[in-house]
Amino acid sequence: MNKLTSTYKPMLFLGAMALILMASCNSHSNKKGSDVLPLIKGEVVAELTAAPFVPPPIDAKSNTKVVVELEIIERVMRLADGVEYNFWTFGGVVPGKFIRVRQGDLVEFHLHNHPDNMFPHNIDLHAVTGPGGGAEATLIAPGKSAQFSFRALNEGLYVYHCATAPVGMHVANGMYGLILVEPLEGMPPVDHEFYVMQSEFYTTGKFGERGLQEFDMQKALDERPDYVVMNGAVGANTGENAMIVNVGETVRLYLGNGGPNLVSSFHAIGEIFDKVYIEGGSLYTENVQTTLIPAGGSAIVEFKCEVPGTLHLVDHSIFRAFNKGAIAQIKVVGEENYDVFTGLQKETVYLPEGSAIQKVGKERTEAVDEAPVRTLEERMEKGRALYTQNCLACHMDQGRGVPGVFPPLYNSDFLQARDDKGIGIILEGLQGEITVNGNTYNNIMPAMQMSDDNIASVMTYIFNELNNGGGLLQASEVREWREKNQ
Amino acid sequence: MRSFGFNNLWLISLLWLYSALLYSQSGEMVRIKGGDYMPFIKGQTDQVLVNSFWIDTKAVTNADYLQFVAANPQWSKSQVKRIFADENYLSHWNLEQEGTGRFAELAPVVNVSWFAAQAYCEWQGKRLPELHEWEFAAKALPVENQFYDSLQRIISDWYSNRLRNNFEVGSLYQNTYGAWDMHGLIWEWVYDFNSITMNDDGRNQEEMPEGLFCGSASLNANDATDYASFVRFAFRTSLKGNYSLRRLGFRCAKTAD
Amino acid sequence: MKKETIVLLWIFGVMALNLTSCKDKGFSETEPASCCSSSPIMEEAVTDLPDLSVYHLEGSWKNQLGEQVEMIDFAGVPVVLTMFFSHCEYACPLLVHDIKEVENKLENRKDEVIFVLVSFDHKRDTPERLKLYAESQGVGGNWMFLHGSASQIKSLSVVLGINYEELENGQFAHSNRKLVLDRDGVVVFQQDGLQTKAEPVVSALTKLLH
Repeated sequence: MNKLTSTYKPMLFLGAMALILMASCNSHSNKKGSDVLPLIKGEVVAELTAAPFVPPPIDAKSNTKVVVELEIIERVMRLADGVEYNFWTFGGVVPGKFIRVRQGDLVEFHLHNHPDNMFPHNIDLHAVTGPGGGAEATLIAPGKSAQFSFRALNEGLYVYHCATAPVGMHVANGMYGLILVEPLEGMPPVDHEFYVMQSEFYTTGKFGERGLQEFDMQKALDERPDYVVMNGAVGANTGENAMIVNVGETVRLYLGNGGPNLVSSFHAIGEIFDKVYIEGGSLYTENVQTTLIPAGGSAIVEFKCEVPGTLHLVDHSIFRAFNKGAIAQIKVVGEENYDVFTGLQKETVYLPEGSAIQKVGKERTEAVDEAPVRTLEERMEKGRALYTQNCLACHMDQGRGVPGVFPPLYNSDFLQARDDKGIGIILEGLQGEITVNGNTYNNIMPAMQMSDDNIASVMTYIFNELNNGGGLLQASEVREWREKNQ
Repeated sequence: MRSFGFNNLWLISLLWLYSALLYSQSGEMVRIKGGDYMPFIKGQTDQVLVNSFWIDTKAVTNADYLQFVAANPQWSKSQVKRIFADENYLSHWNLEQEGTGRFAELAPVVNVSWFAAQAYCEWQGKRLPELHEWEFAAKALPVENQFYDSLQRIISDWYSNRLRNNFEVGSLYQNTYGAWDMHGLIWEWVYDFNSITMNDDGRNQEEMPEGLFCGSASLNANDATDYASFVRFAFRTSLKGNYSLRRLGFRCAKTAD
Repeated sequence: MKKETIVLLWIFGVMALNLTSCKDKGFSETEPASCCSSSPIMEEAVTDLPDLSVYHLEGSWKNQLGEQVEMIDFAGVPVVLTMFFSHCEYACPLLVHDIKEVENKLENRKDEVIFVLVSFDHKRDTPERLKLYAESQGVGGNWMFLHGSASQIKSLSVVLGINYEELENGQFAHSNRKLVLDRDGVVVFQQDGLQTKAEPVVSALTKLLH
């Protein structure tokens, strides 16, 4: 506009008109309301980030041209410990890199398909108004680039994904990410913003089976994923890689669900969402425990971290969390606030039939009844069932545990070093930092409501089946321990 | 610069010609008896009749292709027209000493365009295989393990990046028709890669064969679970005639009498 | 009337040829002797046919008058190019209609442009058939309908990025793409679809006519 000096005045006038129209439209700014598009000033190159990080907002007052450079890379990466997968990625990471633009911006999108790749790809951005969300414009062979431009007309948090046939396979291999179209004036300030995206993987081997795993079409068709993960791998953001915030700080999560099949019941264990922008749109609701994120959809949640501890971000379709990997963590660091949360204050036995509540050993009624002597076979058989009912959800099949979250029971140096044969852990629970096989864990295991007989069986199972030195425990030994430690 | 490379080419290529003849039995073909087959993408009928044809038992190698370039300098890197081959044409061949590059003689030639592949085949008195011919030849099972699953295994191993170390033609598997490495080594050009199947007359036709990346594909596919074929058809859809890609080579075919 | 126009076109075409067409034909084996011997100065000027020129495609076609035509003969004149077939019942009539719109919008400059329609159907679209088709469409002499061999058609389609497949009933499934070629045969504009707006094509042509 500046260059056209001879037509400067009329242009200025038109510009002013456009601004007026724009302003009138801004009152419902998050909708497509006007045919007049805001003027574009200048140009910036978008900063893209890998999860869990979110790029800063674009630093410009008016709408601008945003150049996005996204490279598709097929590469073998970690899916879980000892498990690798040939991921197809936007930007070399799963989920794909986070893109952040503002409503009204003109996005000039450059998609590059790395020459070493084997497959054609494209991109469908749900933030695009236009055919295929860009898919038709961007189908490219390896070693080729495609460019197209679009106006970010609608505010919101949008999924993008590859839409090349077979679409399901491209998505299942990791080709999705999020693009945020925020208001021109930006999102309200918070202390931290993070990017978390859930998705599933369908592998020929079972969960945890080591080696380079392949995509399993049949499992994908049956919607039976082996892995359900947050940010592209089991434990991508747990333990050392957890997101870290301080007590008293506010957090905004940009959440997505890449699918390809499952709908996420997104929940943060230990936190309530103060605000949820439902499905990533403009409408928000408050005080939410669990929010649904459809496959190919999103949500924005906000909360304040009042007390220290670790928040577990999970799919509350809970087997996915504890058995398939759908856990991420936010560590809240700082001073305890007992006015909000006290921790365990006191533990008592509740006996509805008695007049007095007595502070005695748990399961006393059962405990005093019987202490049968059983053979190793009997204890193993019983123990196996008890393990499945009581232990498996956290300690996993074969006692593998969940890295950084739940310690393994398989060949556990921690367990073997205890002289109580684990009885105390079951009866009293365990919390605080421990080191198991060289890894630290800081979590809570509740006391288990189990009879002496059952404790003897499950521990016998754990000592034999899970390679902790074997042995046969009898109920009488459990009872002895219980009495001694009353 | 250009003429230097060109002069050298002749000398060096003579040497290569010699060594190539020693090492490769290039151009050996096998006759494939035609028949009905069920193509992956449905046309008007489920069955397509493929006439008998000959096909190279192996993909064209670097050594083979060098001979062609020596005899047809318009297909050298320096002289080829961009409309027929893009900037990546033979980019794995050493630039300064054209044709002497650091590539394996018996590796399939890649970074060749459709036009170049077609010209090579014509030079040999052949042509590129048609899509249906190629698919017909490629569905034959491995000689050594004649199960559908074993062929799928080769394809899925390749797709999941397990076969990176196999790079010579004739190194992976031979199928019951006598053709080597129809899957697992490289993508291969076909003559009519730009054919598309859709409605008669093109009336519902968007410009891009949308069927190959949208939901409609599954409506046209004979077996929607055959993702290996999906990928192959999508790959072809992404091509243009002058594309020269790192994993794309070719073999030639001939109509049988 | 029509014949006159065609003759006029050919006079014009030959002029254009003389001015600009002594091209480097790449690997053409049968270069007409008359071309390059008559005008050595021009030859110098046009050996630099751009790398991306469609006119590098060799091979001889036949037009609706049964005359031999090579792609390079169009050099020097802006061209609107598409591929079609005459037995096509739905898409091609629309395609032809779209191009007529372009011609109308060019108004008095329409004779400075050649409209080239190449048939997919090498079996049925003989020059005679194409002549009938041209007459039935009532188009002027600056419209050229071309018949070629199967392999010529394939090569041209690949160069132009036009997809097609012959179906069992003899019809063709095909892309609907219109391309504008500059005087050197380089594609400067393309438009996909049917019942498209004429203006973008016209404006691409107008730029070339300056």
